Amino acid sequence: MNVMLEALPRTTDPQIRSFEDLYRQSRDDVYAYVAGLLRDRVAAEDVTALAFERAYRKWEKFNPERGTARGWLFGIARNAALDELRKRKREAPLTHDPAAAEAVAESGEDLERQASVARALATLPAADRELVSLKFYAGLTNAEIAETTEISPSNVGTRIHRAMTKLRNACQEELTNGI
Amino acid sequence: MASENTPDDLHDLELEALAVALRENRPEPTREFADRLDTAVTDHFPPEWSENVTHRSNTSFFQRLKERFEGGRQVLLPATAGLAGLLVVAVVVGVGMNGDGGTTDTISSTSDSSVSESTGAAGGGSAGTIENAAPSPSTAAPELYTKGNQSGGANSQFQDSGEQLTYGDDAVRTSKSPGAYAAGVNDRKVAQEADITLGTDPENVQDVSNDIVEVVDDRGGIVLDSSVLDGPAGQAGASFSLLIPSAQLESAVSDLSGIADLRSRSQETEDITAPTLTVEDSLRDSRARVDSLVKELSEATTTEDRNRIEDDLALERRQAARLSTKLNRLERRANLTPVGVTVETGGDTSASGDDSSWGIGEAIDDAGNMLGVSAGVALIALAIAIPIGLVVLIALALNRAWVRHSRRRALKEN
Repeated sequence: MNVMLEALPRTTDPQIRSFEDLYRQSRDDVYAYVAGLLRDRVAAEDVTALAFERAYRKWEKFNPERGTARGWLFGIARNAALDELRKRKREAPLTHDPAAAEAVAESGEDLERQASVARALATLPAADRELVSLKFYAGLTNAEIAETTEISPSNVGTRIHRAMTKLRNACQEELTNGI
Repeated sequence: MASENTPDDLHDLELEALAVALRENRPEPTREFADRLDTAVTDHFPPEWSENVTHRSNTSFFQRLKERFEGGRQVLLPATAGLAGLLVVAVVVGVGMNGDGGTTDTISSTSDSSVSESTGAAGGGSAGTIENAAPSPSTAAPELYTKGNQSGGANSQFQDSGEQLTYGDDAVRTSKSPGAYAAGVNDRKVAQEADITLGTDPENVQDVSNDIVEVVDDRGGIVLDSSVLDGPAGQAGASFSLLIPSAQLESAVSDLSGIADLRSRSQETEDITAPTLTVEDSLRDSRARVDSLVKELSEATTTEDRNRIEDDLALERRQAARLSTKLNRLERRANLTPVGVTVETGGDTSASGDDSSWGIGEAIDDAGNMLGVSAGVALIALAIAIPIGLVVLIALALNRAWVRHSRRRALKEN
């Protein structure tokens, strides 16, 4: 497997003993995933807050034998995000993306590339964007992604690779159009 | 270095660079939102948080319902167990009540015993009291009784030898067998009478009446008198005066008792063998005397003797005719039994008045009745609640399936 398909290194303690532990470890990851999927910062904040509130209400019913706490939490966040997608009918673009803004402001070549990646990501179908967000924004392992999306673990890697290939092509088109 | 890379390596390198760019470009929450969410978690999502957050308006009714439902899952198990227990109790009581099947029997046997006591008191051992103890048949066939008991000199023997027996429900069956009662007598003459009281609903009075007539026809009997009255419970009813062949009495009484709810049944038996034999002897003597007088008349030589003999002969012939009539009545009385049938509606008054004591048995009965009523109410409630619950569960399941489908579609369409 490619190195780049590995999850982000987990710097937090994998032992999650309380909801607060889960929250501290996952707040930014959940937000990143939801924002990557919805591409709407305000909606991402609402959905993230809703997901944590639901998780808090259901925390006592969480059964570690049925999966990891992060997989369970991202399942809740995913349902909330998809409900938001369902409600909106059509997507609205991110109203404020700090990374893209910084990229434009600093106008460096690498930063410009990052901005084009963000725009290219926006052109992907939601299903591909979701997998990319879960993998590279939220830093989930393939097993956790499988648990969250109910895709078989063996398929997760393949579908992420396919989504990344699409993203690369979209980036190339962005660059070509930009030139 | 670059010239050594294959196209696949280049592809991987591009993807790796893309991954780095994605990680570096990851959306981060604003400080303000992060602080707000931190506070909410620290405060355990207080109610005002839920009210202030805009996402509340985005939550569907079914989701809120589902969250509430899931919030109450801790009480679901005991509630389900309680419901199941209630159902088991209801079923057990229901089966017990259906399997018992002896309610009517119990009531009838109770009223039988009370009626047996009352008719026993009315009896008293003399044949004359039979008339008082048989009100219904006396109106229907008065000649068979009153005249038979008031027929002059032979009646004293008749009354003295008359034997009145009052039987309860069980005794009726045993007395019908010609065993101990008629032992040693070849041609016993027995007069019987019976009274039956049936209970039914006002709307069933006509059907019960028709059934009574049908039984009488089947047994070769006669309906002497009948009246059927419509009206509310307590007023509606019917009364019948019947004559049933004595040989068919047992089966007829049995059939009549089974037509409706048997409230009381009494049967009285009187041995009229002695008076019958007495009348037979008297009639035989009278006829012999008539024959003798006829012979005397043929041998009479004077007018005076002839007139005297003719007067005696006329007197004796009237006496023989009376005895013959009396004998016929006795034989009819032995061959045909008057049966009074009363059909009542409303409460069973015959059983309620006598028993004023209330003990353990009654308490158990009352408790059983209360339990049965409670179980019935519970069953009815379940019969209503279960379909509603099923509909709600099906609706929730359909909604869940619909939501899952909608989410998948939303993911595909965006």
